[in-house]
Amino acid sequence: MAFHFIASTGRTATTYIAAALNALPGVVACHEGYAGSDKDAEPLLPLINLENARAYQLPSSAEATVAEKRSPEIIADALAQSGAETLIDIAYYNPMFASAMLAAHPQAKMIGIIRDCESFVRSSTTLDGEDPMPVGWADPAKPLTRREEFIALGRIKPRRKTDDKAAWDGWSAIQRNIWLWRETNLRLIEAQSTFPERVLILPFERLKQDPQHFWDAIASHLDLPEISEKAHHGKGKFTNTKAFGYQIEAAAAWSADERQLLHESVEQVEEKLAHVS
Amino acid sequence: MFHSKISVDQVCEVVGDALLTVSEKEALSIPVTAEAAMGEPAEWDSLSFIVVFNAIAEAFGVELEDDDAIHFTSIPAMHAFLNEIAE
Repeated sequence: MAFHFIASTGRTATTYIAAALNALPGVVACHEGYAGSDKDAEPLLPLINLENARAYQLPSSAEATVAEKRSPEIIADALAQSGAETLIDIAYYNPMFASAMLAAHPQAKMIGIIRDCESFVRSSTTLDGEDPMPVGWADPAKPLTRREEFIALGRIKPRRKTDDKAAWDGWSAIQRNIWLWRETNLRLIEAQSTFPERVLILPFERLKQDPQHFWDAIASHLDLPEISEKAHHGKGKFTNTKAFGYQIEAAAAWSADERQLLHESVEQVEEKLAHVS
Repeated sequence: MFHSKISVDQVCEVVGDALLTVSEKEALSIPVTAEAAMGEPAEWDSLSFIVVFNAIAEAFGVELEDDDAIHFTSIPAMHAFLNEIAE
């Protein structure tokens, strides 16, 4: 029996990845708690939402959430229920619980997926209309549906009494999502720094550029059977499924402040990444 | 800001009324009791959460921040939180 997890900002083809992994023999892969991304079925793992924001504000709370919702007993129950030998948990909230989950599950391995900041921000920023996958912060002036409002309550935002918190109200959605990208990915790098042998970080772009290499790296790190890209090609949702597509322009068209924050954040993440790699 | 202690029955009543309003039902699947939490009753879900959150703020005159939402997933947690910030 094995338990592993995949963590990212979201908007990194995690639904597609979960579906592909869930198709492997002996593997059940959950996307945000739902086996094989099937949101019509009962979740296999307890859902996490508000705990995500709390874990960022109060990192010590992550251990309690893992004990309550991702304990070895809960994972064992989920494995027994599914009949699988390996359970893989894939979720946008895993970065905030990465170190706590690795500590609670000494045999678990983690894969962090990091997407290019500009494309993440373009993919996750909504200016108008309901966002069916509200991973990022919407334009502050956009009215939110109840669903978007609930999900936003669980999204990380700057800690109280910090410079970022003071700036937050004046930030655009682009700036907020650059910040979201930076803080989420710093948690992945922190987990790799603490558990270097158990954490693999993959660039999201490799899934497009060299998919078989991407799958081979996942299979090798998690001790899984071979994953054939050809077997899954076209079966998943490896596309931008937002009906309205990107709502913001490329970074060249962003404001000077937005581009400066982008530059600083990318530099900070790349520097940390280079240090642990 | 309120100063008197809030009873658990008061909290249940506000939550129950909010859920009835948002679900547009005449009765909830099960009553809101002192042990109730999201999912029980079924009408207390992610879509009604924000209505409950706002109803509590209005009913008890408290200024809630987004970070406080974590305390609003069950009656016991909500009741304890409201009385804690009242002190």
